[in-house]
Amino acid sequence: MAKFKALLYREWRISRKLTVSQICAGLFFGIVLLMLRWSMLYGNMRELQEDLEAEGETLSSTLKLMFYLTTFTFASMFQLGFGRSAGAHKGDIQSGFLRYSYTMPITPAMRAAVKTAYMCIFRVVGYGIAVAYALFASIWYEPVSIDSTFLLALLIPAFFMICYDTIESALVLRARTAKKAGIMETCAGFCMMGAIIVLCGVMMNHMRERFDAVGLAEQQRMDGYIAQYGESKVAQMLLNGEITQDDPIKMMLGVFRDMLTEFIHAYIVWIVPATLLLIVLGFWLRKKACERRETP
Amino acid sequence: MSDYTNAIEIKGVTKKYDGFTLDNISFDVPRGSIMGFIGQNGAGKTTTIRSLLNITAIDSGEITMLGMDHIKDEFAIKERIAVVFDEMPFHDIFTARELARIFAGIYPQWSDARFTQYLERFQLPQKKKVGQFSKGMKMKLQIACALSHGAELLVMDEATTGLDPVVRAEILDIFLEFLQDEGHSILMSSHITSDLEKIADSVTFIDKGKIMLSGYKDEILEHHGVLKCSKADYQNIAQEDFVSARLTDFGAELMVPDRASAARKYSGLLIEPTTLEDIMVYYTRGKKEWS
Repeated sequence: MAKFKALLYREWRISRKLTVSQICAGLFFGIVLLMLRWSMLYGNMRELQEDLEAEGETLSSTLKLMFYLTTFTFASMFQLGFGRSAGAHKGDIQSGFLRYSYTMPITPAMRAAVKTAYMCIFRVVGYGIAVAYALFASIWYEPVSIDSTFLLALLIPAFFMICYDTIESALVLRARTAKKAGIMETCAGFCMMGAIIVLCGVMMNHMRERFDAVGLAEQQRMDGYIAQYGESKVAQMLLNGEITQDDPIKMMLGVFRDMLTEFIHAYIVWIVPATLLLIVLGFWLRKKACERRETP
Repeated sequence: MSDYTNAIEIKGVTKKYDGFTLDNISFDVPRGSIMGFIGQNGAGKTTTIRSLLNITAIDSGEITMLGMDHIKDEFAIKERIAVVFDEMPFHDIFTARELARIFAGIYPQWSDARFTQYLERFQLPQKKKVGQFSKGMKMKLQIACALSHGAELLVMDEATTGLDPVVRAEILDIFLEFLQDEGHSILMSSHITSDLEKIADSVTFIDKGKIMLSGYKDEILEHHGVLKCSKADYQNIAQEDFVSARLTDFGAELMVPDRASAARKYSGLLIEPTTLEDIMVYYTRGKKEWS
């Protein structure tokens, strides 16, 4: 345990600068959010919001939703990147510690365990901060009610970060020169892009089916109106506001949320076990990489 | 496990790379002694040390350290040995105190008191980042780390290379102190043979992946000699009696591996004592005659 703690301390010490800078970036983002909200309540953006509210409630909600989604995306990207170990490995190569470490009584399993634990600790911290940001944004912008859907949605970037870390560790930790580590890092980036494309494909397929269904329902609804009142009457009703033009936007917002809920509920079943499996796989791949002895 | 005669035993170790082969090398480092491991750059010193430490997997042969198998008992061995490389292997951001914290966790026998003593003796600041240290200070820090966890065997790879004579002398004194304990041993790879002449008990000389000489330093120096003669006399000397010959405008200088025998055989010729450096030079020439 003493060895584990010592190595974890070392890992933290060499990554501290990067992690602190990531946290600072996150805090800076929080300050930007605060200024934005401040502006919406008391500054120039208040006029914009009032104009939008005068135009229609939905446009105002759309603006809020945009802010929410921006917050959500950035919160995930910033915080969930904590604890990546590729830079630390390159530093170990450049400083000569990698070679030296093989003269120490440290087993490959212990090296892998430390790297995995370090990644997990900072993922948990990052996830916690991302959730806090998401809640914060939900309360501020109130586009949707707070429920498990948006919080669970954060598991998707978390899963991706762990996936990225696993691929990166498997490749970068095998490198024994800084140049090779750089090449491996690039390869990991391409692998990750491939994984994202696959997942986007799955999501798009899911969305397409959902939007097709929405389009059809909307078409049928409009056909229903036209059949009932005739085209000119429907146009008149639109002009009178009996059928508002906001309806489709509202509906799309609802659809987006429903779709996300469905997606999360459909995939949460495998996202959580897959994440856990990836952590175990990551440990094993790190261990295999650490068993490589040839150092420059 | 402490009952062993040789701190290191290497038997028939072979390791093949593209363009280089560590060719069936064998030698022992007796317990309680310091062995100098000499050879020119690229001769195979570092490969041998990496094989010892299981950083490089050997193709064949056997290695035991402190009486244990270097692969099977790797981590037990590594708790009881210390390694010093030519470059400081720590990140520049660490301070000596932070390194002590890490080493204390990794080595069960770590002594913080001993480490502090070394720092004070070497006049190394405890809270200054090591990136700001001079080369000599970095080497001293590495040695302080190596000697503070109760190691029985110290393995050094070109540890004194690039250091000024004052620092080298200081470090050599530390090594001699380390050897005061009869259970302690040192394998010191270097091409600065003058250092080894001062402190080594035995010497192993490697060239192009092959062991050329291995034995007690005093015996090697006693047996070898430089025979100086005219070019005419040189023609009468049997090829098997010398390692190689340096021909100059004034005559020839030959390295003889058996000084006593050569003195008897060529009684009229002058044979002078030699140094490890000369032995290295004459053995590594690769041809019988050179100038």
